[in-house]
Amino acid sequence: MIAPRMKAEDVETLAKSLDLNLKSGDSETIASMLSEIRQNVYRKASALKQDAPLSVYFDAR
Amino acid sequence: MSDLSNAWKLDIAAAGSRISDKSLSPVALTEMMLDRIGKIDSKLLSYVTVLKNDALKSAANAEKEIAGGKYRGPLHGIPIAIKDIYDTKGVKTTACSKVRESYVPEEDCTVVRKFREAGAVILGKVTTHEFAFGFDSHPTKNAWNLDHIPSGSSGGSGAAIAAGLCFAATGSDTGGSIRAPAAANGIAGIKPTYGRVSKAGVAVLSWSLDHAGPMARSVRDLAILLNIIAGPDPLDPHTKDVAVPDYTADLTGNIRGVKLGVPTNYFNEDVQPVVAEAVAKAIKHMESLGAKAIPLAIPDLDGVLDCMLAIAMSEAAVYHQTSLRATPELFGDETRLLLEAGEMMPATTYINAQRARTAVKVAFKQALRDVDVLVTPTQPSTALKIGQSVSRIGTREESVFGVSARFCAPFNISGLPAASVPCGFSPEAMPIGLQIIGKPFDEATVLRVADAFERNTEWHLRYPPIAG
Repeated sequence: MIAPRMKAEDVETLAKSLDLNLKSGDSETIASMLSEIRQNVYRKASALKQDAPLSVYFDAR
Repeated sequence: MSDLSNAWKLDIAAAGSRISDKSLSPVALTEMMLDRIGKIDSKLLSYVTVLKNDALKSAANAEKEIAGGKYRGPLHGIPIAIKDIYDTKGVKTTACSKVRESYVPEEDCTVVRKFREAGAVILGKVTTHEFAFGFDSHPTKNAWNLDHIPSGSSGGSGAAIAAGLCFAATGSDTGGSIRAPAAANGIAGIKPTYGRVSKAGVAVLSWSLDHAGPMARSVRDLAILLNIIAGPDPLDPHTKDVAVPDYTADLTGNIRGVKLGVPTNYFNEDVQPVVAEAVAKAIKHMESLGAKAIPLAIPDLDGVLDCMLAIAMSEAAVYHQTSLRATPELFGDETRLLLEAGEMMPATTYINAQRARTAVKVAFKQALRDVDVLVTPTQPSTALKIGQSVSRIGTREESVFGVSARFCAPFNISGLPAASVPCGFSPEAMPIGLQIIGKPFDEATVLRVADAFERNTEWHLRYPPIAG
């Protein structure tokens, strides 16, 4: 499994490296939210063929 | 019409017709709407800014032009409202955020410019959930019950139209933000195909998911509005040069032989019984008009909401990257948290979500190969109560975001055109929406089906008590 669950400490460390000042208590919520999204997106994408294309919306005409 | 007391109940088509034959005065109509806003909106809180003087001046200009034989079309002299994420020249455009409290655009966005050129009278700016990133639209209330949310993010547009405080309004839709408040307030709204309507000058939530579109009292009005705003725009590279038909031309009420795809999965899961019943009756009704209902399964929809969130959160985080560091305290708590989480979304998750879009798009393309439109509930439930953070349908528990976007977001992911029209009411008198989805750039068929349903039902002719 490539998308392990994030912990509040992971979020706090990441926030520091990104120069973000999280509000107290938000790291837990963000960890839970990101873990769920990452896992579900990974699960969905892993069903795709390896060379399934990336949608491109920019039209260079 | 000499008696203006019920003129707010007209749709654009009817009001425009009376303006064109000079039996209805744009000035009188605008004064009536401003008067209604003054009396009703202190409870509904749908307007952020009311442009009384500008509106009266525009209405006077329209009246003068029409008297002089220069009638611009069905929107000439009609009072409308603009969602507060659409740039309006010289008028504060706050996105209902302290971050943009004092932002005054120097130019109109493309959609507003087109509406002005069509002769519309702009009454003011209506609320949005902060930066269109949510479904509460605080502080606006639902027009049908002030204890409920108007949904969002175009909550001000939905509530104002339902309460008769404008004839139409702009909306924007990233995961359901036109269709959800249309359903929640018992009005009509359409999210056009991605690339059909310019977003130039509309605050970005998510470049690849945002859609601009109209909300109004009737489907015919949506067609009139879309006629004005659809088409390519050199200022918006997302728009496509695809021919724009006259959307009013096919509104004949005839849907004999039209094939309605009725999903047998995803869109029928965990739906409030009253909503499921209303939608089933609506489909039966369309069958009685000669349409053919065809059950079909749509694969690859699991996880679609998380893909939408991964994309929206990442792109929004980029858009707000500077202000999130400079003035994080100016964002509302919910928006700030979503943006901060978006900053931490791995690039691989974002890219996988974008790749998954292709699979979803293909699934809908295949589903629409054998039918003309799909029909689903717009939302699995009626509008939630203000302050309700969790929706419970059967054993399913979801956030407000989840329940509001569940049936709408797949069409932001796929970019397909989708409209919502009223199809019933709960025993508590809360509106229920029917969603009609079409093939890419085939808004005409979506509107044709929606109009046929509407003209054979009376749900859109009900008015909330607050409207008087």
